[in-house]
Amino acid sequence: MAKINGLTHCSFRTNHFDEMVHFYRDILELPHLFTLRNEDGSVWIEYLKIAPREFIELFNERYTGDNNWRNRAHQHICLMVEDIVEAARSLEAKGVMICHGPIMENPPYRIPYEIDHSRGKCNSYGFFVHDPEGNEIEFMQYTDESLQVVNDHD
Amino acid sequence: MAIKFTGIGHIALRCKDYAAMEKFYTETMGFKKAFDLIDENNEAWITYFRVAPGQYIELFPGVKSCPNDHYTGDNAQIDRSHFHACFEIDDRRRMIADLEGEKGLPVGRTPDDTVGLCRSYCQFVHDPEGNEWELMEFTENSLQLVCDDEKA
Repeated sequence: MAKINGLTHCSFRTNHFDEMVHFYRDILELPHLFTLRNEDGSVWIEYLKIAPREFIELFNERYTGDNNWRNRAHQHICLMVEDIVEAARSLEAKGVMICHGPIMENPPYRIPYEIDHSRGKCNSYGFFVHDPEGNEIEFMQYTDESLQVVNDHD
Repeated sequence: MAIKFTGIGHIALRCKDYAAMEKFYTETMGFKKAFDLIDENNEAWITYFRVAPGQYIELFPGVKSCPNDHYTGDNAQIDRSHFHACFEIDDRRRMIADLEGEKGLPVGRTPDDTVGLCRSYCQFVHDPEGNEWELMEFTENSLQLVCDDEKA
């Protein structure tokens, strides 16, 4: 079988395109790489870079529902960061609410985010934020004891 | 200071038919189950399937202790913001031969095998819950590569 090298992007449709671009480009500060345009010159997709060969695609296309989590299998995308506290501080400074988990079951963290006692069941550090469409984004930092690390065998 | 991102860690999916989803991600897509997170009732709360170093698919079987791990709608793609996610593949022809030819999974693709606007080859499959996965093969002209000063 051909090889799957890894996850290379996650894409979102948008009912608030400008706000979504602002969130991913200016709040999360993902570098903007390029724009794909429709034949009439309007924006079709904005490409934002997470890491080499890994991206977020924002589609300038609407969806018709309310993006209610009860109507979708997709729960979240997780973005890895070098320093979970530094990431939290950066988001707090921009007024982003940081939650323990999915917002419907977990209250927001008190500010400032503290790293103590906040490891998940998987022994990684993490928190959740929400983009302007209500999509959940997990931020995660692995530890030496993370199950994602100790169970990772090639 | 800008957050230092290192990559995508995982994509998390709730399941209505967990057995079918596990079968798809292991037998069809070829990922190995890495570990389970077990809840207080000793049930598998989240199962992890390894895609690449440090990268996983999380499946939520839908345990009793977490009612929000269940979704009740039809997961229609047009009703939600999440559109699709994408795996980078090394060889689209072999991938299509394996998935469609050997395993009977329909693979959406351009009829004349042309690249997309981004100059990459784009194929599409769907898992048993109707989640769309793109399978992308980069070319040396892919905008995803040539627009990125920092090479992997």
